[in-house]
Amino acid sequence: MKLQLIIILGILSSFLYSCGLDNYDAPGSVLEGRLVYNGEPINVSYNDVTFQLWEPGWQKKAEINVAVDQDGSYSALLFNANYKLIIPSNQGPFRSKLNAESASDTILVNLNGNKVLDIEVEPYYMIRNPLFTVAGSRVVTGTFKAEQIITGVNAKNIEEVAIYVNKTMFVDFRSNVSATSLAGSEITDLNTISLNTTVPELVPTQTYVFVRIGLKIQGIEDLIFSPIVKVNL
Amino acid sequence: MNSKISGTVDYFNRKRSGLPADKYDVLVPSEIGYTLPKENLNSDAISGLEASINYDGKVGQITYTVGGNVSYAREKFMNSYKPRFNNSWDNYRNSSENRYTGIYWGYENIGQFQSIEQINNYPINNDGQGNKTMLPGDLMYKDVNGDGKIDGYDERPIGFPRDRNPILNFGINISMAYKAFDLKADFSGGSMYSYNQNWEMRVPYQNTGNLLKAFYEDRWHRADPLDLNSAWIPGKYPALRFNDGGHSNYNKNSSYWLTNMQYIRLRTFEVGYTLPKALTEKAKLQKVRFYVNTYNLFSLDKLIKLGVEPEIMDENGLQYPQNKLVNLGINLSF
Amino acid sequence: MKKYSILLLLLMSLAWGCNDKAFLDKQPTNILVDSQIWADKSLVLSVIADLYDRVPEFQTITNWSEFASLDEGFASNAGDYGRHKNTEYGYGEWSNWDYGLIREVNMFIEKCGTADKLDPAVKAQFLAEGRFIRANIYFELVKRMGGVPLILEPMTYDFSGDPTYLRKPRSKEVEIYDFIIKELDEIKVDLPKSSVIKSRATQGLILAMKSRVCLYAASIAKYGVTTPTVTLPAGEVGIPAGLANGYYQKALAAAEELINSGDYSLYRKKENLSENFSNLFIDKGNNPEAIFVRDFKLKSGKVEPWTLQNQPWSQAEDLEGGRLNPSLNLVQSFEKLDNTYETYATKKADGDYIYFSNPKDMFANRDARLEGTVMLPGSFYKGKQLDIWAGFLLADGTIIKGDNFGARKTLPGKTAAEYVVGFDGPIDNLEFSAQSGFYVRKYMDLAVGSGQRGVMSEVWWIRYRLGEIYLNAAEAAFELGNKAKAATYMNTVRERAGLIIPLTEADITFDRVVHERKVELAFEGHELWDMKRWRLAHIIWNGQSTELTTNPGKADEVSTRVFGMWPYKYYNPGGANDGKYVFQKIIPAQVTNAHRFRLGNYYSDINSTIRNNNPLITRNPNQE
Repeated sequence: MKLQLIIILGILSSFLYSCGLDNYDAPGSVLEGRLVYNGEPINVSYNDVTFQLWEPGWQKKAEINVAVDQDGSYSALLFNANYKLIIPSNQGPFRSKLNAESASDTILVNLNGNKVLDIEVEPYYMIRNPLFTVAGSRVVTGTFKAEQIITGVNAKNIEEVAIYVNKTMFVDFRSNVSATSLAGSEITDLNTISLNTTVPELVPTQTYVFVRIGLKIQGIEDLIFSPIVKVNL
Repeated sequence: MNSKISGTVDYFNRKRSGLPADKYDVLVPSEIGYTLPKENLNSDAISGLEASINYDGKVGQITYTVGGNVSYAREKFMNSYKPRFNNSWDNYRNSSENRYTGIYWGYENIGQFQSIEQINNYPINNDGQGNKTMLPGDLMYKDVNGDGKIDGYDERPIGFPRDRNPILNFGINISMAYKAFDLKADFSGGSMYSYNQNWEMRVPYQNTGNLLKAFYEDRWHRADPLDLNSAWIPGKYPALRFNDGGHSNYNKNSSYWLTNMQYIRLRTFEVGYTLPKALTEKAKLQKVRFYVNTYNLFSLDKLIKLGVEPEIMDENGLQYPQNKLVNLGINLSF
Repeated sequence: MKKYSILLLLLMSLAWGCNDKAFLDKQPTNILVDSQIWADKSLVLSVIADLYDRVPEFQTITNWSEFASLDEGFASNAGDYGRHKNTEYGYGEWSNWDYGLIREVNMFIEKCGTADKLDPAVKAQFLAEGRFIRANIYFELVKRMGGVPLILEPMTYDFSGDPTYLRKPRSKEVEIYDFIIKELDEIKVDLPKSSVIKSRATQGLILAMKSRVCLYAASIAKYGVTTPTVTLPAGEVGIPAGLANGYYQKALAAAEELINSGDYSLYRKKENLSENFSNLFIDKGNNPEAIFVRDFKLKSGKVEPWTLQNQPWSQAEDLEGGRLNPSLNLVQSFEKLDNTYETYATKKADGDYIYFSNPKDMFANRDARLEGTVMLPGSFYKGKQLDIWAGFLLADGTIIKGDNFGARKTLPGKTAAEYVVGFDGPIDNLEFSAQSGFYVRKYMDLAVGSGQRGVMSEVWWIRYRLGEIYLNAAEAAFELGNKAKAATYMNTVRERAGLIIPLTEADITFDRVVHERKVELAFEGHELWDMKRWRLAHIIWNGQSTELTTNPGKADEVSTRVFGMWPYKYYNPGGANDGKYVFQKIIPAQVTNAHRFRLGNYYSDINSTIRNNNPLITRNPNQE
């Protein structure tokens, strides 16, 4: 009787092993990093800049899209494999750099465990030394320098610059409570540009806001921004 | 077994093959305007275990029998015809090869916002709109891949299947006799399945109508609804929105709305009393027995607070529960 | 044993008798086979009627909510508020790759070509109609996707294991336009020349469609240079700029041929010009302006729900209505009768409200098409006056309003409760109320019962009408530098709208051309295609939450959110202006995000399944 009981319990317990929700392993390797220029991150608007990871060796071909966050960082949770990282040419306020290994702008990524990879790109402009101040009547002023990085045959003009203010940490042309823009043609001195905007009455009351400068390049859909800064009203 | 304990154990593995599917060795262009006929290509399997055990016993004047049974059946899809995927993520997310069926995918809820301050300083785009629709009490989702946004890449299996019988079913049956009393009780229950709340069970004022009582009684709300600056009073459920199924609280399948279910239900219960033979024989009756029995008297489960019964699949809760019956009766034998 | 053998013999003899093969051959009673159809012209007509009906449409009267997806209107329907909350249009939006339908039409054309049992003239007409429908489908495809594979015969897979012979690459966008124009030219002769036939192809329709198709190709060629990234190197998307003038000339020629033929004329039956304009769309008897329609018929199973879904709540014949609310963006675009643009002034210079005895007075002296397109507060429908007012405005500025139809409250100084909001709203978040302050009038049926679920309406959907052809001619003439001609054509249409002061040559600008189409063709399904072909879509729907423009005559003004204007009753018992109406400009509460049309939306996404099935198909630009 004891033997029989043991056999029964043995069969029963073998089934407890398969009690999980899924019998596939989830991806576990993190590929993360930032889009940078000389080590400095490229700040963009959320959901607007993405790049692609292609994994050769499968039966069909489609990309994994990786989104670049506002501060230029990205993160993807993947399986270990060899990936090709491609930033499509119309993505981002920048041009891709030539990758020596692949002799193109494709970056070869061999993922085996977690990996940190900063991707160097060449932005058309960088927003330098952004400084934000608040005057008494809720006027937020930002001053900065617009440095043209790409000159020569690939250079592009500034279409407009703008200052955006929002209640939350997400600040751009669609997420703001107040914005003021200035056409590129009306900028007198690229080294000192000053923009200001008035923050309306915020309900519920909030004593701080988040602010950024955005720069729109002619012929390029994605803007380049300054880092998000929290200012007290 | 000795005469007191009896039982059975069954192991089964049912494989099926030849299930119809599209053969796509050859990819014909969509421009021909029709799709090729299906062929018998796929296979699946259900394997599991059933066990039951019974014990007859006697304690003093009480004779009793206790029995239990359990059934575990898990379905796996086995093979499809030359499966094709785009990359390892596509394979993980969409492959069924040798995989449990009915896996419930969704987002993991990691908490609720505690204050507007927290929302404003939150670095993850919880609602996809810069957190501008967030209020204290709203659901926070786990950013599994760490990219700062909540999208399909953050979905993981979060529950057992919700659209079929529970993977684990069990029952307990008891019968007892003491002098002229007899008692019978049958419990049945299940586990390893999920109940998902959706529509009327998830969205307040769904279709401009229904509001679940539980959502109202314990919810995040302002001390003074007319004063947007008043303090927030915490509760269990998020602050009520009106019929806003598109809001990030409600537009995703998440662990918040999914209940990992276990239940046990007293299905039948009967107590009877037989009159002494001496009395009944005088009336020329062989046996007179009074009894009370009930069906579905109660169940212990996690959905009691929501007011639905555990054995339904309908996500909107719009289904009649099983009937509860109480019967009184007399057995007469001549 | 003997019993059994006799039984067996009996059974066998019966089986012998059942040797009638015909017994096992049954004709189907639920389908018609080719040999039956192609011998009978009424059966062929039923086949082609079905094909006419299935040409893809984006915004139409059987699909009211799509009219609220841009900036012409607000969706006052709980399930559609999401249209005003999305932050961008998905790249797959408006996508269509229905080659199943193309195959059916190709099969129709193929079978028609061999249908010897039909009378030759009838056969030629059906063949021409089949080709017309096919050209129409390709026009719908090229508008949405750009160049597509041009499949003109039904293709069949031979199960040989090699499908490469079936793979066709995308044609250039210009090749599809050229194909459509060529087909239209070739089939014209086989079609009847009759302006009475409106639901089937006629020679007049060929000219009308040709003018539209050529105009679209011309604009893409001309305005495509402003969006150089919206092209593909092999020409699948984008038309060379040098071809613009050629297409403008063809468009003008086709439009003028139709106008000068005299077969159609602008609808002028009613004295009241607003009533005349709204009647144009619902008068099916002897309508001289409609060229091609999708028709409906009561009690036939083919009725349309536009009136049911949009009727004013205050007089609804069933428990629904009022869904499509025209936006203030559109309503303020209608000019004053002296050809000037003017937004609605709600306050005087000193900050006090402007008071109106009748809310309709706010909209006085304007283009007659305003009242013919939009139901204004104070106007009438089916003989009853609309009840659009949002509440009471007190002298101290407070507002008393209701949160449901028929809400009653007691006003200060009174003892009994009274209605504090109109039975048509506007009430924020209350579906079926006029949440923008307006209801739609265009295509609204006046027949009794047209608002009942069991009856509905047989008002048709006009796909082509002469009014548009005049505007096609005006635009083509303008782009070719002939402003005098453009002015003449535009003035003909405007005169019918009560704008009798003619525009001069100098008045005709691109802004004028864009504006005239917007007000004449509102709610007729043109806006998306027009904005795409002028490459204005990404400028006016740029994702920024700007205020409503004060310059409605300017073509590139941002219009990303729909606005409204609500009338209030002024409450000042015993004082001045008590009982008069004032207005406030508002934005409906459900409008929380601004429309964003990106460069990748100009040509919709061709999804990865299609591209994996045929590796020759290139992806549309700006979507990666």
